[in-house]
Amino acid sequence: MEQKLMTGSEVLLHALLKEGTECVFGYPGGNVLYIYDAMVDNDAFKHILTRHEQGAIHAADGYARSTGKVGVCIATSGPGATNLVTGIATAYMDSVPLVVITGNVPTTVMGSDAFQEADIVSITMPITKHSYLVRSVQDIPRIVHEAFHIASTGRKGPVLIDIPKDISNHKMLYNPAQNSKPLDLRGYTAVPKPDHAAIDRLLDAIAQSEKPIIIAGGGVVYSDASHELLEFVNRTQIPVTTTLLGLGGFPSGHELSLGMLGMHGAYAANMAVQNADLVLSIGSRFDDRVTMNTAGFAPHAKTIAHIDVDPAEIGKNIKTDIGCVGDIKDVLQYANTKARPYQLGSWRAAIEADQAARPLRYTDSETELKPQSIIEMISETTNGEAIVTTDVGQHQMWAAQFYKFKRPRSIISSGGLGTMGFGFPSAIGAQIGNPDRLVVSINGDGGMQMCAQELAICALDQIPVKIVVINNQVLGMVRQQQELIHGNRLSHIDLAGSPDFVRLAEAYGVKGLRASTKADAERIWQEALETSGPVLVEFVVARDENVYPFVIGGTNLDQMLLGESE
Amino acid sequence: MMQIYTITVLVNDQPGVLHRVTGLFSRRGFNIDSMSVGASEEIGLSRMTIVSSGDEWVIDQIEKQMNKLIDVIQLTVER
Repeated sequence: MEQKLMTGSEVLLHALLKEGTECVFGYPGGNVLYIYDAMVDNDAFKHILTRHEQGAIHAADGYARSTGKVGVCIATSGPGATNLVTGIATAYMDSVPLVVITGNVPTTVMGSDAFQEADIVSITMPITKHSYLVRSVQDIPRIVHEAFHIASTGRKGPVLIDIPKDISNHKMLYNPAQNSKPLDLRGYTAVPKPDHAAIDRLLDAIAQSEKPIIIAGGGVVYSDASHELLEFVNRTQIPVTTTLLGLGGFPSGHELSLGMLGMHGAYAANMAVQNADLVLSIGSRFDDRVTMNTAGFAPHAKTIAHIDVDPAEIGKNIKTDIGCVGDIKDVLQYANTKARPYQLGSWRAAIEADQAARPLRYTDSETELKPQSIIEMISETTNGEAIVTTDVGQHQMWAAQFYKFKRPRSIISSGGLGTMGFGFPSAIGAQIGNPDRLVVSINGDGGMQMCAQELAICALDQIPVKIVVINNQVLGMVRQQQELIHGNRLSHIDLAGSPDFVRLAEAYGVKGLRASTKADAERIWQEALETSGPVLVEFVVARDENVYPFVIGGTNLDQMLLGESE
Repeated sequence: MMQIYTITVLVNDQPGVLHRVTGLFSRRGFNIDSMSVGASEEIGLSRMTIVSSGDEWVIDQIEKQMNKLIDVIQLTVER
């Protein structure tokens, strides 16, 4: 093929194709008209028209987290772009590779407060890994190529490309069949080479330790290192606790798996960290929801070690003795050539005693539906094999506690930013990226109303997500914190007046089911699983249930409120 | 212990690059005591000279976070 004269918009679409784009989530508007014009009759990739830009970016995020590929979304300038901001911050906090394309006003009026003008590059500077304002049509191929590279390598993250309207219609000579020019990014080292000497020091420290613990985070999942982690654990025999985003990075059924740690972590997991003499974080950044009060974190640890692709995370939140910078897969592959067990003794028995004494539990009821029992039912009936997206709040923590994740990229949840409204649209993206997998989206009655409009695309495109709404008619996590921290002074948490979710689903053309008893719950859930298309399942549950364990902010990881089991 | 550091940075001479650098400082609560920006000996690159103060942790974070900026080509810290 020869060079052809094309518009910037046509070049953009070809450049996206070259990067392997299969699906774009977007919403058109005045300043992306040329880009959307170029999409007429474009069969090369799918475009999903969401009903809100926030739905588009969360869907792209769910696609990216569940597949490991770069998620792509497009919005127009001004309000279209600013509607993406929450989604960009969500992806940034959780290191999700996205390429976010926004239109902007023509360069001729830029800076004049033109209609639908917003300086989205500046607005998103602190929440993007990098950003571009395209100033010449000739730059589009290079910028797209760089953006995908930057988004998907090293510590992954969202990259914004802002394209003024006139640039998207300027013409240039372009050859779609020609390979992209080699990258020239002097200021970017994608993945630092692991320092073998540091890893050797880590392995020596492990061999001398008596009470080691691994905290496995989202980095294990993102670097596709769960096999290497399993081998490392089998070689060293170190028990593993995971963060929210690390769930599935280590199989929950493994005998050395302690489940999630942190604010709502398992008792034995939190105690293991607090009693450990060596704490090894693998792809977890010692987030405050994991460490709780940092001054009281792991007080007995002689060694804090950290494997991470981002050098800036080493020692950022917790003083670290051994830092191993590198891709986790590379680091563990090298470590596995030499790894040997720690000083095996009474450590495991002590942890198992904690597990036996204080397992995750709840009191089931004959009269009310308990939310935890819903998660257990979903976990059992899907054999821990579904892709589960969650929203944010109590149901998210119960999903993390009671769903037995077996595989990486199975939990899609906003961990760092804690974005309500993420759970449902991210499931749409996950389903598009994984057409053959069962995708279950678990939401509360609060978050479901923050992006409910995307029911439209579920119905239109028959995207067969099983949408669960755990309805306790209250903002449960806030209610819990008001009860336990603010002396039960309940303030603006009542969600009475929410729509009838079954009829809401039906209004969009999605099947809706509801249960408020255990027998009905099992029956309708089975019916949902047997439904080939999308279905919304509402479970009306007990209002005043709390998530336990609960470590109140500012206290130490072992100062857990344990609820009824105390 | 609080100390004063001089950070010399070579950056891509791109619109917005000053914003990226100062934004990083303000977002993470680092100090800029003084700053000067000008052309460097290489076309397309600017040199920033930033005087900052903070403890060892702060300067370590400044160095590492700055190095993550794609437009930062080279960074040296005089301690």
